[in-house]
Amino acid sequence: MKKDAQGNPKAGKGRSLYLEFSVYISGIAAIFIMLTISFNLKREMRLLDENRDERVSILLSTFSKIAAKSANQEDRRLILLAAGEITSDPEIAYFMLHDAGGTCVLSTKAALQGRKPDDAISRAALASTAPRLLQPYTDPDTQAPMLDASAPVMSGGVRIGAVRFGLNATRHNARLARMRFEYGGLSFVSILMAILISFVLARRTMEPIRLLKEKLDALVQGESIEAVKIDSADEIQQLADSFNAMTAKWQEMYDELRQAFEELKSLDRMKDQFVSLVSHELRTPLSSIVAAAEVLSEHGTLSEAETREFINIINTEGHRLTKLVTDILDLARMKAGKEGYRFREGNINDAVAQAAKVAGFAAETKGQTLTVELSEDMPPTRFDFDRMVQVASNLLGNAVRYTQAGGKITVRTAPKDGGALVSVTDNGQGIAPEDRERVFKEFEQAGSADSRTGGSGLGLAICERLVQAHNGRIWVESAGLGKGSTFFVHLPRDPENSAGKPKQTNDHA
Amino acid sequence: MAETSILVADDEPFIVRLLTFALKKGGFAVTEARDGEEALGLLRARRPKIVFVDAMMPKMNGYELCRAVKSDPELRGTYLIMLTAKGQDSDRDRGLEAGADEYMTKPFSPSQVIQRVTEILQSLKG
Repeated sequence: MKKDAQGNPKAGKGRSLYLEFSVYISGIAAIFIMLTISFNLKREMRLLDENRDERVSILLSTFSKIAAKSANQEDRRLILLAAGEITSDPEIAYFMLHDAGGTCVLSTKAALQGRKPDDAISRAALASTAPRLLQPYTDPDTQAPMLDASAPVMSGGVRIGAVRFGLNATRHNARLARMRFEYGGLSFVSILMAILISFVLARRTMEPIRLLKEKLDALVQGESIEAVKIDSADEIQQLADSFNAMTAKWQEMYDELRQAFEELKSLDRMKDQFVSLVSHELRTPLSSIVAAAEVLSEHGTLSEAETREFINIINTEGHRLTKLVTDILDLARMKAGKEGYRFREGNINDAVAQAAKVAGFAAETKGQTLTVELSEDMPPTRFDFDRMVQVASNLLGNAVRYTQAGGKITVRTAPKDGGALVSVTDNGQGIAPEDRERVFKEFEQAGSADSRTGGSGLGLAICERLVQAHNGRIWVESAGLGKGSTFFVHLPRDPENSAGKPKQTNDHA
Repeated sequence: MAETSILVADDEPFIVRLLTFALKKGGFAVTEARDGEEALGLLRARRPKIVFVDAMMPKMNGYELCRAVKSDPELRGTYLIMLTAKGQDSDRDRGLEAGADEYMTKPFSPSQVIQRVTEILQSLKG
């Protein structure tokens, strides 16, 4: 598992499940370990004690019998032998044989030989008619912990004396202490291990949750989301899977919303731009009209020529305004949708011919030659006749406007991809490569944006919308500035049937 | 008579014609330019006191023309009036930043233009 730099999961406000989890498991494990170990320790210690008690008890009964036998036979050899045997055990500190009166007849403590000991333990031992196991006391000389064991010596139902021996408890106590120490160490190590294991376990359990939280935090902070990878095949994995599904769904929704938002924003920007442009375009002819009208009304001394001139300005600019408003309304209506188109089957040549007839007059007045080359192999196509006349008129009007006097303009039709191709070629001022897309934008005219050549600047934008409504394509080719240009319109056979739709390739570029 | 020379630079012929007509009636000597480059040439040749500058002109637009005039030590004293169809504050700021002394929005009233020119000339003298 990957270790993170932070180690612990973020200790947020209040509780940490990870810590609680670890502490609970450690606590339970510690209690269990302590119980088990202390139970075992007690049992071991008890066993050790019982073992010793049993040994002491056997020794006492054996000695009391040997002592009785020795007394009966007046033979002290047996008891001496036994005493020698027992005192070779390093744990046995002393051995004593008392007679019925309590006098020490045999003692490994030389000082007590032939005397009657008068300490509390001895008195109790001598008074008792039953074996007394292990009376604890502290040796006044060595300060060692001692245990005194005594038993009466009986002969024929009469108490004739007592045997006693002392056990030095130091070794036994040391053994117990070592046992306690060992068990203590064992429980300490076990509890440490338990804590460690519970922390690791808690970490392993909480790690996926921490990972999920991290991803969620990233999501909240708007960073990009990648899937959480958990391969535990358990509930956590199910949670992670649900989480991944949720984030994927969320991301999808977010992307969609974002895209919609961007589109709306861009539309809004375009609208603002459009309004600003419209305002500008309307102000220019308006200012001529206002100024001309004021000059006419305030200057009484105008010559007839001047008066005519200013009236002419008002007239011309008035028409320009009208055309602008019409075009703007047209464009706005087209922005709204495809309603109002009447697609009928016909020959595109008819529409082009009608537009060419009108454009012919304009070309003639500028001394230009307009050549019309209509193909006889045009397939029948479905289109809105009036709209296509409008497109052809616009293209021809542009050609006339942007071509010098005496220039040449050619309009052609040809079948293409099952549809119709219309082209208008002139040898006029041409279009720079970087402007080829721009000319179709509203109020954009080729060359400097500040150079005005007449026209509303909306003609090509309108053409593009009309052609797009026919599911067709409009584009321009030009060898460059001063080298003339050709505008193409490609219409499919049926605008409402995508079959035969013009391909969106750049083969013309 | 030492007529005050005024330059009108605009690519809209009707605007130029109407401004020129009104200013001439007001007693000023008027020169016309149809683009920015022509205007700059005339500025150097004739040294007009006041220039009406259209923001959108071919070859050199009004903002460029203003900058060119204000960066030329000999022309710096020329009074520049930016005259455009744009009416937004950002356009006004752009014009004034480029060095225009004043900003007029189309449509304009010829009589008001004459009145303003008279005021400017008086303040220039003073």
